[in-house]
Amino acid sequence: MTSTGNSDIQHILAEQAAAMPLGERVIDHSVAAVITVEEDLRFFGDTVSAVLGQSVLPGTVVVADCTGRTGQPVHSEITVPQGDARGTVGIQIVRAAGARSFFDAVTKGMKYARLERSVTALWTLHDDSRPAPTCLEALLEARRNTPTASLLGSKQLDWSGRNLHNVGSYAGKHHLESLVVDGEPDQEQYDGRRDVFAVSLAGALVPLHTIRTFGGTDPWFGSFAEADDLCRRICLGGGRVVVVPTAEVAHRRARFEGIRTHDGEPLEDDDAANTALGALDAQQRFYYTDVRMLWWPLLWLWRLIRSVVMAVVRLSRKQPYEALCELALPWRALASVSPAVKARRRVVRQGKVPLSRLGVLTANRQQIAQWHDRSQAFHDQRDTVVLNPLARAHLLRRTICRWTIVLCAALLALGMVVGMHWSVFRAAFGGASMTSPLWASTSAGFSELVESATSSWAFGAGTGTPAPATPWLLVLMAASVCTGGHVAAATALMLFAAAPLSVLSFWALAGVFTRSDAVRITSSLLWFALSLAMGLYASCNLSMLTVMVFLPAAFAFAFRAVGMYRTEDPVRPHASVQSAAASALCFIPVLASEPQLLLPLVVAFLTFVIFVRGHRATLLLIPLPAAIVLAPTLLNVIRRFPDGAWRQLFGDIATSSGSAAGDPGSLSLLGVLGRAFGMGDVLRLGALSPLGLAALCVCAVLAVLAVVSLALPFALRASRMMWVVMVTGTVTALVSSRIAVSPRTDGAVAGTVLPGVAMGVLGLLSCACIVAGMAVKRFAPLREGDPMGARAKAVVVGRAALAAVLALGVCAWSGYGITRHDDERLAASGEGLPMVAVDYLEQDPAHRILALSARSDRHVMYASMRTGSGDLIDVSVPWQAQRVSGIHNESDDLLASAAARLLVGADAQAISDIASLGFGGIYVSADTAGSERASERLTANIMSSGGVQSVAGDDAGTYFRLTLIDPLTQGIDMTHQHEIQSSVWRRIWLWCMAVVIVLYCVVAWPRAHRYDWEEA
Amino acid sequence: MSDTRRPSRTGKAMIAGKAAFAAVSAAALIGVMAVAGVCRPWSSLVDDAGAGASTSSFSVSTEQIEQYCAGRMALADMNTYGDSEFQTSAGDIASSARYAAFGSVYLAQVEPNVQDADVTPEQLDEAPGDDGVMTLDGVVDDGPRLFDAGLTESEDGTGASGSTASWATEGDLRGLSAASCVVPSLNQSFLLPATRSGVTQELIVANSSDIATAVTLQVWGSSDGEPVSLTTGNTLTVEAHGENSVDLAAGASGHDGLFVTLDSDDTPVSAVVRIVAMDGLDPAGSDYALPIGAAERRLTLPSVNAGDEVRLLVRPERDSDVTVSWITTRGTTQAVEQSVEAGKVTSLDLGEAPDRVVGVRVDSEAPAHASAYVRRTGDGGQSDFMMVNPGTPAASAAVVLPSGIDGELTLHNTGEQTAEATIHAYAADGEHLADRDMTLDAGASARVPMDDLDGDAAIAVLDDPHQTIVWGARVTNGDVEDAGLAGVANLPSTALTPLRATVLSEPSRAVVR
Repeated sequence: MTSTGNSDIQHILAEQAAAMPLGERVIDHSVAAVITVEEDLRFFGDTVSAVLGQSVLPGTVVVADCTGRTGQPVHSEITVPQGDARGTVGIQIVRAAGARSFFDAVTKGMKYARLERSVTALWTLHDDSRPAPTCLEALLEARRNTPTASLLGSKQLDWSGRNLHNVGSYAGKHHLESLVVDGEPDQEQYDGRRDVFAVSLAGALVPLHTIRTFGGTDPWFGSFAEADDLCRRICLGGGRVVVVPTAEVAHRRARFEGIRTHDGEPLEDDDAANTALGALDAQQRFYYTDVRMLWWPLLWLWRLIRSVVMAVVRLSRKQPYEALCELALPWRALASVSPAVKARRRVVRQGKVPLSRLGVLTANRQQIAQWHDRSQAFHDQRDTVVLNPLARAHLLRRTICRWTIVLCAALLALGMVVGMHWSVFRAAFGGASMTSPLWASTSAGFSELVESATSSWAFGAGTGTPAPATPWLLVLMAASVCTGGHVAAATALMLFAAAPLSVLSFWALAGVFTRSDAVRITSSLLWFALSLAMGLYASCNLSMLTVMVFLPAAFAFAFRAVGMYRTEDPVRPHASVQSAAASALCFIPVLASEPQLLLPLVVAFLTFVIFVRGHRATLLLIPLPAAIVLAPTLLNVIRRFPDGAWRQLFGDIATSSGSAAGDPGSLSLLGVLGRAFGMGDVLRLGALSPLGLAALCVCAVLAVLAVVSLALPFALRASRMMWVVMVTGTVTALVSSRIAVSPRTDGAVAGTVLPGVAMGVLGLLSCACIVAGMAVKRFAPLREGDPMGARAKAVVVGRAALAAVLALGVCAWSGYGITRHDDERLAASGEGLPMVAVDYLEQDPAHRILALSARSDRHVMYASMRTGSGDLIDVSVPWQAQRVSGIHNESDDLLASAAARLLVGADAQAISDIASLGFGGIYVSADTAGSERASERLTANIMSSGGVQSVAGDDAGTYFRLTLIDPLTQGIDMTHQHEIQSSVWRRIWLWCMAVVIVLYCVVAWPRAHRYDWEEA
Repeated sequence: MSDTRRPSRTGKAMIAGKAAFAAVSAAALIGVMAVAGVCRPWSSLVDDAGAGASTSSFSVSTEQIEQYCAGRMALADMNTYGDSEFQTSAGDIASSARYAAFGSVYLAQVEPNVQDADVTPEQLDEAPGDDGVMTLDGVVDDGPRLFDAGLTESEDGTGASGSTASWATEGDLRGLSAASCVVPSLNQSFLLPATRSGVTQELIVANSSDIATAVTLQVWGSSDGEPVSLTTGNTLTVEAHGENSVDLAAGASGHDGLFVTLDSDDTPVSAVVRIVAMDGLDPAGSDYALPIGAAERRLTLPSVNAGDEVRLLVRPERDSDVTVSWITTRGTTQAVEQSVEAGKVTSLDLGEAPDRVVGVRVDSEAPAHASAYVRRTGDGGQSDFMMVNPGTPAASAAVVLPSGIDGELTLHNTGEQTAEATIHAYAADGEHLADRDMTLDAGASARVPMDDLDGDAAIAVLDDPHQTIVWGARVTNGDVEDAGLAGVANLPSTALTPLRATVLSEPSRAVVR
């Protein structure tokens, strides 16, 4: 051999030639073997060795090099003893650069190869198809026995040579049916096959006259479908395609299984690419060219609809990439119409026999149904991990133990919250909505909620103003669906369900890091105690409670999505698209409640992408739904950035609806904690209660554990990932406390620090769980005494100590939370507006009532009412951000000034201003929080202003009807609101959101027959 | 998770690389956390929005006048330890108060600032004659009073004014103190004298409304322009119908002067500061400090007499050159010129007031607050002082002298034109006694003893259509004079003009629950 050309190929050939068996063998000079080669040479050696080890050797072995590194053909010979004489096998390496498919490479190689005249057939082989020693012999024998055969194929086995890929294929409805379950063991059950509709070209014997008659393959079909097309033309053209089951080829199918790139470069098994697009595309090409061109337009429409259905089906099988491919198929078909037309014409030109006359080559319905059944049975068998009964009993025991403990903990949390707010809990069953000084009550109906949650309109700002909807309302909407459309009941449900759910949620996250039940339970109870210590239940901060429930679950699912989690002993972790979808769904409520978490989560997401071991593509699924749900808010932030719209990112419904405390200022970490725990911004440690000090100490202990976790060698990645979560959360809290989100009479309300602190503590607690170690209870089938080493004992003791520390933390935080001196008391909503006022409001959506409350002689509060209570659904975070940025709404300013004037004295102009906006009544609330004297004076002032008529009055307040404008024509101007609500963008957004969420739900929905309970 | 799964391929190098990465990343994370959480980087980067929030406050004309009249002067703490001769004592302290309502008033009454069902408010007596005013005399020995007036119409010449005075010839409060009644407000400020040892400055905050409120105090001293943190805490909670007090001299001691602002969260509050000074065991006088008005470039402080020792407290908003001049009946003469730093309180010693002085004028480049600490010394080391605030011209204003108090009016025309004004004098029972037309040239001043108007004159009203005259009353008490003691005090004029109230109006979803 010369030293030019592809030295790797030459090297392998030389090596295998040297290792060739020495025995005497027949050389058949009528056959030339053609092996195509690409960059990936992992299987080439085996293939060459098998070819040279054939019982009957081909006269020539042509290696078609597709890499382009072979310039001039390289010729060589191997001498084989043959009786007394010595036969030679010619070896040729020829160039086939630029080949578009396997057979294209063969054809290209043939141009450069010098074949003997005696050659009548080619034995075509992939570099990864290893023929059995008698393969060629069997093919040649079959050829002799069936001289009319136009193409002889071999039985395709997997690389081990034991399991079947296929044994020829039959014609189905415009596609091929192998009727062999891919992967089933070869027990010669299909060896009776002879005439088939199609065979694989890998290991096939292709007579040269067939190539001459049918013109070879069409490279447009690609390697996956060119054989099918060729065989179709042979069969329809009157030829015979014969499978020779005794000729076996072990085929690695490197490209089909994704371990080889499109350019022929090798890939590791772990990094196998998804080849669904190529396979589906090949099927589609075969399909179209199998149908009359006349039908193509109709067929395309049908396949367009089918692609959507198939995409959903694929999603339900947790195959998002395949779903995308399905969606792309019709469009790819459009892009290759002209080669398809050419290919179809060729089929028509060469076809002489209609398929209906080839009954023997067609798979009937019964066969196909049978094949489906067997495939299903085979998959079910293969996907189930067969565990021995002892292992199953072990897992079951662990499961029961685990779930019993966590359900007890969840019930404990629920019991604590219910016990602390027993009267409110009872009132919730009477249909009351939850409220606190921080949280507005609601008496809205479901349709009003939907309108508020999906319209870019702030209903509560005077007579309304354009502003994106507050995203949390979508969460409330989902909760209201659970309560059958009762919005008030949904607030109660969210409040009380948050306790057990937040425990379960963090329990799931802790399970990602450790399997120690004690640590998991204590850490999840500590997470629950954090919400008590931050006063979330007492202040009815439902948006933060939503975060507390969904944030840990979202992270837990994200870790499971990439397979980075601990699980019970015999079960192995695996990546899961389903978990990724669940994670994406869990991030929606988190970000809808606290959009400020967007910034740390983006940073955390990027670090996750860097730190995870693989499956990065799976991670990419996660941010999309939350981004779509937040789209109106985010677009508004970008469009109105210079106007201060970015402030709305830091606001939440709690800081915008009530008397939130906290001025914008640069706080230290301690200050942020003080604000989160309600201890004030400037912490005087000496002035704190013992429980307050203990609550801070818990944070310090957790911080120490977090630092320790960084040094643990078995969790280098996980600890750093959770540290990033912690740092970004903390920085968010520090930033948020500097930003004004809502105006107040004497300055501004700062963004809440709670989400950042919660995220920081999530990171801290996760690190504490990491410190606990894996703690997997090893499954030992036979119990042998108790040979626990000293080190193992120390680990157990250490873990127990950690659990004890966490339990102390639970006591400190919940104790502080229960005793926390706070006037933010949770309450059930009261009566709201009087009946007559509610009746008036219900008559027409344009009706409004102005509610006033005098806090003092010089301080009046007002609200534009459209339902019977101070409605939560009318709280608008973006509007508050507009106000604090100095953007004012005329109608709101007019209401504010009229309210101020009425507080000080009788003012007919104020009444007429209010009436001119379209308001139909004024309600003066005699709230206990306000000043009674000022309230009386306000009532008297309104009464003596004229233009009003007192309709109903009791201890709770007085309702005046405005008589300046005829009640029939009363009502605010709603044209702008209707314009905004009928915008195309709103509809596009709603459709996108609905479609994306439904699709993610389809992916996240557990599949019944693969319910892997042992891994929870 | 399974970081241990993959065996190291290239052995030690890989482990070392991993360890290095682990160490560097750990250090970086801990570092970021420490810098962000402890060092507070860019601590001045705070969102200062919320300036727009002031639009939620409205200035509305009101027909209800409420005033708070300070109680009798008292010692902040009556220590009863030690020998009786060294104990502090209020001595023979006495007090008096007089309230008057002018113009279209339908109701005027006085009641204690404690809600008590048994106490019926005292109505002001109807005016004798057609052109008289409603008046009421009283004492404030048992505590401060609320003076309410309801107007039928809000116009110039209609309003209410009241004053209280305390005096003693024995004990530690020897001397005279006087204060006019103050209007409750959400925000107010004081400029107070030095907080040396022996001085108590009792800030009394009264809440006459029926809901509690929290008052935030901000204090600037004489050391620099940064706020001082009070050792007694910067927040004061005042119960409904209640009072609370804090000793500012103890909370921020060692300053040459204090500037204090009060912000009430929920409801307007009234505030006065009772200043009592002791020089060792000798009483060094007492007086009330009243809230000062807005910062201005030119401030006029009336009621200074020749021979007074005057110390001026000034606090400009920006670094400024400040010129202080004596206002005399023969024009103004410059007393001091000095450049003053922004934000901090500067105390300027003007020395003894020259002859014919009626007041002090302060000119500053930037708007400034100013007040004067005026002292006189009597027999036996006793001295007394008073606090004078800048006056504001008004179309109509009144000074009401409590019973037992004599007074002398000092007037100064701050305008560029000749001012023509009329002083109406009323007797203690409200009877109209006399009128005097005054003509003051631009920058001219006058001194009018009440006795000159009429022997019985106790109430003076100045109608000043051009609104250029700043005036006040320097008051004296016969008992104190007779005892040979120094007794100085002054009463500023109270405007009788349409009153505007600042009302906060904010949207809230918590109105209806």
